[in-house]
Amino acid sequence: MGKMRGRSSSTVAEVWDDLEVGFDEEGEPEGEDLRRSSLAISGERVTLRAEDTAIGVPLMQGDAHQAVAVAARLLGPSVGRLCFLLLGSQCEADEAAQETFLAVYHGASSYRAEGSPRSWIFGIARRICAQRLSARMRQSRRMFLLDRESHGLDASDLHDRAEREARIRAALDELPENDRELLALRYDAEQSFRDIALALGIDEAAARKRVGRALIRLREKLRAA
Amino acid sequence: MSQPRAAADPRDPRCAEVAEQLAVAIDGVLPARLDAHIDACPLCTELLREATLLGDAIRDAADDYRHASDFEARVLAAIDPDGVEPTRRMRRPARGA
Ligand SMILES: [Zn+2]
Repeated sequence: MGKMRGRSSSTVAEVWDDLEVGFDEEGEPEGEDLRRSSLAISGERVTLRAEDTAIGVPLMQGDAHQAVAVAARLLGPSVGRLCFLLLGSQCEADEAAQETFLAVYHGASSYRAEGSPRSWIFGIARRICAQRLSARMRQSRRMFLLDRESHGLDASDLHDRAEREARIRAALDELPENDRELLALRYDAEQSFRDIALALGIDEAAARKRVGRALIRLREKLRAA
Repeated sequence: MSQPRAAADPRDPRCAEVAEQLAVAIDGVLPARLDAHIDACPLCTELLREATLLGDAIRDAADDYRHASDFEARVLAAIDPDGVEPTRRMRRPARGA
């Protein structure tokens, strides 16, 4: 497991104020400036991904339309993957991801730059998935579990990739929702413990412990299978 | 994955400590004394090995997601149904607009 790429800081807001960024006709940030700016500002406390800067600048400028256009392009696939892990269905993941970016648009003015734009958007996706899970009686996830049983998986074999993925998704499905969120945020979305802590409203040490415990529970699910 | 379920040696408090710090341990940032314990403890070594695999496996499990090619277009259509851009609240004019 490499070092996490994403970092955020409470000084993110200061960073935006120092940036002058333009967008070309395609809505792309102009030139290489953004990629470099994210390096230039990566001093002691702030390291932003280029995508965070590209989304954060219009967000802080109050340009919700531009922020969503850039966010949907740069983060759409990552948000979709997160929703997929949380909901267990391709179709629902697409819908939830769509909903997420609409919520970003309508809630753009509530972004406070306490975390990176990326973690803020993941937090929104997480809430939307939680609402869907409680509202929909987990129909699609039950279907998924039934599907899994029909494969007659060998509990001792995790070598085949497709089979391993099916087993992991089934085991994730059996975990408490909080555990699934923690693991998806950490190991697929590669959120820092700090960003996870912000998203869940807990401190960073607690986030580290909870991720570890979720891993142990996932391991036990697989061993018991 | 078919071994007994014991995750660590209940008699050794360092095993409990490694388990408690598992998420940090698989990132490779543990105090040296715990690193030394892990090297000597087959139970902790196995726990870390499996946890590392699980982290990767979670990412692989998300690979089944297929991102729609028209995803972005649908988002934009939904926030901008008539093709008319909403009023922008600009704190500062965008350069080159
Ligand atoms: Zn041990």
